[in-house]
Amino acid sequence: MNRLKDIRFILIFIGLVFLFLFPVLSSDFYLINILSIAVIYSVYAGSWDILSGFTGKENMGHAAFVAIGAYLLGFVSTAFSVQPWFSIPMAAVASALFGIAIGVPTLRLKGPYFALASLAVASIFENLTISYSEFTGGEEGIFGIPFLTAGPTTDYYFMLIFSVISVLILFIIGKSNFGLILKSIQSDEDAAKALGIKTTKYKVTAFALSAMFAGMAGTVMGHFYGYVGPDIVYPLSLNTLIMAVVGGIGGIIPAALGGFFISLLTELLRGLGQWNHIIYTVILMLSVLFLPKGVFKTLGEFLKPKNKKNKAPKLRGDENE
Amino acid sequence: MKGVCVLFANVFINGTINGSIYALIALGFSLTFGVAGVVNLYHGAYYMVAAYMMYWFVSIGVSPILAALLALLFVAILGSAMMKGPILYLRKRGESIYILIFTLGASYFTQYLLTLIFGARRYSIEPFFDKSIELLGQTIPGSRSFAFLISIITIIVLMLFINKTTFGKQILATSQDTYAAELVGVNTSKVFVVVAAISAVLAGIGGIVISPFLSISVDMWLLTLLKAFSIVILGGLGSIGGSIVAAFIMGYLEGFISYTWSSGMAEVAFLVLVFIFLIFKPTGIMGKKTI
Repeated sequence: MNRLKDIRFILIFIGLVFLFLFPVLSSDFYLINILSIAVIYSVYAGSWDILSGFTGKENMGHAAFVAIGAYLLGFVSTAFSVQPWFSIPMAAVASALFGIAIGVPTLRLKGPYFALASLAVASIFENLTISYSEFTGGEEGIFGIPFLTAGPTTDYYFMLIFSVISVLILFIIGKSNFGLILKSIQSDEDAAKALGIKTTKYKVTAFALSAMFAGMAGTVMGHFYGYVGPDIVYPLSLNTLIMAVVGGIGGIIPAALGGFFISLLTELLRGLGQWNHIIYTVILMLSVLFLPKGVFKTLGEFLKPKNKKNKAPKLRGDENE
Repeated sequence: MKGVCVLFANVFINGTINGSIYALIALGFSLTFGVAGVVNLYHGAYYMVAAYMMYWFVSIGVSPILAALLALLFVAILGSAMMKGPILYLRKRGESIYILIFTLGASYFTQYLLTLIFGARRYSIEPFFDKSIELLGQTIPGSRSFAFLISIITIIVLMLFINKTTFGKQILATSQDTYAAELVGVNTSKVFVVVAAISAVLAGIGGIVISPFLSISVDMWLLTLLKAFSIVILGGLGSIGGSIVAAFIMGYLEGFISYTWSSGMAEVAFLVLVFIFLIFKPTGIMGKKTI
């Protein structure tokens, strides 16, 4: 029950209750739609974090993972009317396999080398998407994908539940020994190996997890729009990176909050036209310079219950003995 | 047989011209990495900003030579300011990811700022030199041969500067060992800032010479950056000779595939080549350092 004393946990819980009650409180479909998109962005940012934030491999081509889920849905839906209960598990399997396929050859790469490799993969995908327009619809994309559910409110609940479960799973994985091992690989891979950790296995699993959740989120997004195209997939490489870094990396929740709030902000600022992008990039640059840990991670550390309180009873116990 | 000759002439000429421009742009990227250890993703923006400044000065009636010099002066100041301010600050703090993200964000910021000022349309500049040349049965437009000449001259001047002057030797010393260079009295922060200005000017010259035959647009920086980054990795991060060789490989490969297949596939082929290289020989053609 220590959780109840943690103000961060309470705040997130209140936020979630608000999100679940939102369609009851308001029937503004515009707001419901942008909230639906924002919760999916939290999965994009969280899935970026489990690989890049934990192992330190800065993935600059996250869109490639999303593209697998989204375009697989697009291809299948041209053959038959595919439903989410089928397409989401399909995307999970295909993206995880793709994540492994990218993860194994790039295991040794770090820093700029990995950044370029991931950038190259996403660019290859983008070029192929545009060039092979007879399969992918090129710039136009693929239309006529079956919608998620019957209406916007049920869509919203579907996406909200999907996102909460996904982020929660990623968070639990990040908190577990698995997450700790990934972080140990980031700080000193040789030391981790010397302790008998099979680093390869863990890194490849991180790739598979990251790709799996990104791919599933891409499929959900495709169902939501009834469409997949380069405009909703390829800008994600940069956007996800910005959202996760501005939110705070290495803890899933800050990155997911970054994804949620920044995409919400982008939608709400859309009326400003060009200024919207300028504000967005200025926020990124300032946050990298002055809040290197990220907005929500810094906030989280500020709100964290002080260690003193937890330690105090123990000390007293020692004295009694 | 005639087809093969035409193919060869086309690939050879276009590959050589494009390769020289790629070499020029990639050299700046490689220099910044080799000397300061910084992967500056803002490099493509220098190329774009110089082209836009050139366009703007020419459109208000400044003579092309003066316009080019002013545009280069502007990017030189921009380059040294980027290095002196945010990049060195982030470099001191460690963690290279923040430099990557900051410079990428700054590039997008520049793109959106230019969109706000100039709009999203494409521009082009009147050729400075329009006498076309016949070579191997191919007609080369004057602006392309001009671009080739300027690129090669700039590369030669840069090599002479680095290898023959005292300041050039200071640059080399800093790139070999920053700490040791400081010990023997090299002002390394000054070297970093000057190298950043030189890098920006190299990219800027690239942007100016291509402006008559490739249109200027607000997203031109991204593909150029990706190419420069790929060339530098393929050549070996920090190796100047490697970058030049890789730039010409890219020029010929691109020429060959655009001629026989399509220009979209030329990029894919190069990226696949880079990816394969990263997997099997991440240090590149001439790189010695292990990663």
